[in-house]
Amino acid sequence: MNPAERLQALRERLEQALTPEQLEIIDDSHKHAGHASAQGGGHYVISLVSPQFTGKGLVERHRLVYAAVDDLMKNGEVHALSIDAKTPAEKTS
Amino acid sequence: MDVMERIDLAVKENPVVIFMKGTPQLPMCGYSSRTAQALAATGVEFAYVNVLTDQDIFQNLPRYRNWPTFPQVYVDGELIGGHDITMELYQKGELKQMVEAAVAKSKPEAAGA
Repeated sequence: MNPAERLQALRERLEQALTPEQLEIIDDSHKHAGHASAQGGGHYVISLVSPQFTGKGLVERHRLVYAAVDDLMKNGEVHALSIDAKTPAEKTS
Repeated sequence: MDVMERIDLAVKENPVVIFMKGTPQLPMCGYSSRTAQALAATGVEFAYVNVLTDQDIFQNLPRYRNWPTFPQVYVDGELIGGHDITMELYQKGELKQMVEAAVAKSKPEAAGA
C-alpha cells in the first residue's frame, strides 16, 4: 500500500468498528523512518471520540482500537499507533 | 520453562516491569525510551525486559494480555498500558502513586521499619 491507501484503510477500519463521532489520523511515519525495528510499517497518531468507549478504562479502549486495525498490524502495514480515545462526554467536558 | 510462564514470572515477581525495545540506558525505539524515562522519573526502581534480545518473548508477549505493541508496562501484575497510557498517567501525576503503591505492597515486611 502507498501512504494514502494505508491512511484510507485505517480510516475505514476505525469508522466501521468504532463509529466515531470524531476521527483524526495523522501520519507520523516520517519521524520513524529508518528506525531499526519499524520494518517499513507506518506510525500514526489517532484521536477519536466514540460512544463505544463509555464505561471502559484506557487499556480496554486501546485494545478496541488495536482490534479494529488488527489485519493492518499483522500484515506490517501499520507498525505503531499513538492513541487518544475519548468518550463523547469527556470531549464536551 | 514455557515462554508464557517466563513472561508471567517477570510480571508477577516485579512490582513494576517494562517490556521494551532496548534497555532504559540504551533504548532502541522512541516510544520505549520515553516510557522508560517516565518510569525512571517516578524515582521507583523498576525491572525491564529487552524484547529485542529474546525472540520468544518478542513473538509471544502480544498474546499474553492481548496487547499488540511495545513497550508494555505492568504494575502490580496488571497491564497499565503502552506508551500513551503510561505517559498520560505520568502527566496526571498518577503513575508515581501507582508504582509506589505496588512497590510498598511487594515489601510488606518493610512497612513498620
